[in-house]
Amino acid sequence: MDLSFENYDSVLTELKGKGLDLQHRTETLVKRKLENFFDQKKISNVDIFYQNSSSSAFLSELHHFLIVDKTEIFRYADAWNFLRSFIEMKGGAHHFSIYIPQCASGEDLISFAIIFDRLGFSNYSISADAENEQKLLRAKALYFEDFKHDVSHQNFGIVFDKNLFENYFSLREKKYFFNKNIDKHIVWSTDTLERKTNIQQHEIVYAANILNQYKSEGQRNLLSNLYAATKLNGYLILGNQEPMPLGFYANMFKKVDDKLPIYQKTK
Amino acid sequence: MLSKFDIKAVVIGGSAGSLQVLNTIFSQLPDKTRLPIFVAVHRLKHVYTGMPESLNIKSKLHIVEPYDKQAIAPGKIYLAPANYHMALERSGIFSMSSDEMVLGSRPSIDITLGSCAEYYKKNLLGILLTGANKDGADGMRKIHLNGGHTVVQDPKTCMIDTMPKAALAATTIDQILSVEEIINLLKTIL
Repeated sequence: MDLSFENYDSVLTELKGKGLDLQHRTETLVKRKLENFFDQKKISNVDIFYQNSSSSAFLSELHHFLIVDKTEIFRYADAWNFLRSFIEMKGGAHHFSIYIPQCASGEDLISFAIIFDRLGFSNYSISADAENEQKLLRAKALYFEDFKHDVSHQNFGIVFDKNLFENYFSLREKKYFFNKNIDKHIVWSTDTLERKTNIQQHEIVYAANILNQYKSEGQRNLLSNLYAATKLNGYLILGNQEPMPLGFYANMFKKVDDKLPIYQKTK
Repeated sequence: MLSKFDIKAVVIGGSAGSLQVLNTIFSQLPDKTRLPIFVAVHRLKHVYTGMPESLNIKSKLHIVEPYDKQAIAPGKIYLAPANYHMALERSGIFSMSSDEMVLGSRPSIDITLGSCAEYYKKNLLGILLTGANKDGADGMRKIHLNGGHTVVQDPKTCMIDTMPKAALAATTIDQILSVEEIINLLKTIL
């Protein structure tokens, strides 16, 4: 039987039966993503899908595809402009570090790294984590598709053409891998902020729209860890319109601007 | 009769000619509402600014483009950004995605309408305006199947009537209304 959008219900039943957790997603989105995945893999028949679905590697790749969205940090112009001014103020002489907790797809930190390279900064490190090995592998699988909108965005300030692309990526086994001389700045980990016992401190913690995925108690716990991960006088960046949770640790930060969700750790 | 208390959110889709209609609608809505309003309209992919600013000139309600994983708040009009699909997750946060285009469009009206239908079920009012392709018809079908209330702009009043006509052919539409009638309906439920 041909595999078409109309008969994805049986596919979803099969995937859920195999333990793929898609509970947080609406079926509308999942079905569209299935359509894209099958199109990319040239899977047009139900029998071919069932043959593939016995492979754990196939299921893992499909799961990643279904739960991770391609986004672009540089729509977030306020945060980017702030970061740029911060980096320019620091200059190239002093090392600075950025922490990006719960990085789902890698494009945030890759985009940061490309920006820093374009600005001529090399004295930095970016720490990124994901909650498990699967998600981390996904974040490291650096498909150009995942961030082409990032780097072509007007806030990026440059035209990201084929030549520039080849400066940053090389093609291996049908995947684009990030160039090693920039990749060396990135520290990957599965030791997430929620689990960490020994939290390192960073000048900037970029945690846009992470807190709002937790209920109030979880938000307070996570905020205490975000506090611990931010250096004194360093900055915590939340999501646009994401409120700072009330409580003890909120008082340890000062909003740097009424309009921006950027907080400086003052105590 | 649609009761104010049945509706917890409004979602509006549109394409060719809909910007003028949205401006007319938003300019006549009150300055406060207990509901979120989601809007997905076809727009130029590489023009990131202009539309929310333009709509905000006449609207008393604040029109914003949401970010990925942002929580939904009442009283705001959320506009799908250029080149982004805007969907809701089951946990009540936005999912913004630059996945493949649907029916040649990103944002896709079907994705926004469909995910809103799944999240709000019978408590959703879906409105489809003027437009030149059939995007939105499947989303309206999902709103109907989930028990929501469906409205299309009267094709006779549309700049291009393909979009509402496609919805009328695809599913049950509860009301066919002129722009003025849509405004009056919104005033009664907001």
